[in-house]
Amino acid sequence: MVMLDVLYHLATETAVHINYVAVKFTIIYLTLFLVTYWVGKSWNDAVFATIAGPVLFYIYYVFADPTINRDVFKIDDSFGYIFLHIAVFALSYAVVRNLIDHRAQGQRGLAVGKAFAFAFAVFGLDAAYQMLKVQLATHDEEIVARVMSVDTSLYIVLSLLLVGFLLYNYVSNIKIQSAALVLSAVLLIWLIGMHGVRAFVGLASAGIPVGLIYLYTRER
Amino acid sequence: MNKKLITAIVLGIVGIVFTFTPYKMLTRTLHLGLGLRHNDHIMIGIIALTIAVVAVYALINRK
Repeated sequence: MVMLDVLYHLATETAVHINYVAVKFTIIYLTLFLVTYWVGKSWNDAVFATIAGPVLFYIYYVFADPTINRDVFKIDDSFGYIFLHIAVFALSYAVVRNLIDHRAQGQRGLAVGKAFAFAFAVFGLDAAYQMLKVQLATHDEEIVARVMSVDTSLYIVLSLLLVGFLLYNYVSNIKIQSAALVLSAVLLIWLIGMHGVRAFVGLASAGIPVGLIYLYTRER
Repeated sequence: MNKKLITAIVLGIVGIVFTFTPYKMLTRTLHLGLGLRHNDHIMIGIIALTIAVVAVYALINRK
């Protein structure tokens, strides 16, 4: 959800600010985890979680002090962004729920869901590495807010979506599929990002989502 | 007493105090600043509020 939102922000030249991304991730994760753990994952729970998370996050925006210059950076702190956050949260919720409760969909539908989860998780971990690296090196949030660009992000997400779908749909051997997913993600990050260390970190950025997706879907 | 009810009440109060109380009142009058910045107080408050809100939802949806 957070990375879909990040893509929208990059496309509309709204700052991708590491502190707010971290806060957003924490609140959304906490809301989703607690609703699923304490209540369940029905239609009503989905509606509650997708509305409560963005509203609580908006309260944070309203009461917290700005940490970057609002004259230079546009931030997603207006009321209307609640609806965008609800929409991307609902979309992500639906995809992941279909992935876990996969009775109704076929092989191709499952491959699309897995590719979606894989691409956005790799993109998120790769973005976290990039922003954290600059944050730790400079301690300047305004420099960090300029780290990501829409074109490279789109190249990475779309290519990972394609590779993910092809490998999840056509390769049935789990070991070969997992190795190919991780290696292709590393190669794509290296080719698009043109950075060796970032590509090396991609081993973890891709390995973690591939492992988690396998663990959650292996009973099928 | 139900654990979720206690969670909702306690964290609801903590969340409201840390999120909505002005910084000076929290640090000087109430002495609850804990040496933290304003945004850290808001973060603590929002996390507490999130847990409290979901606890209330869980209480309403008790099966």
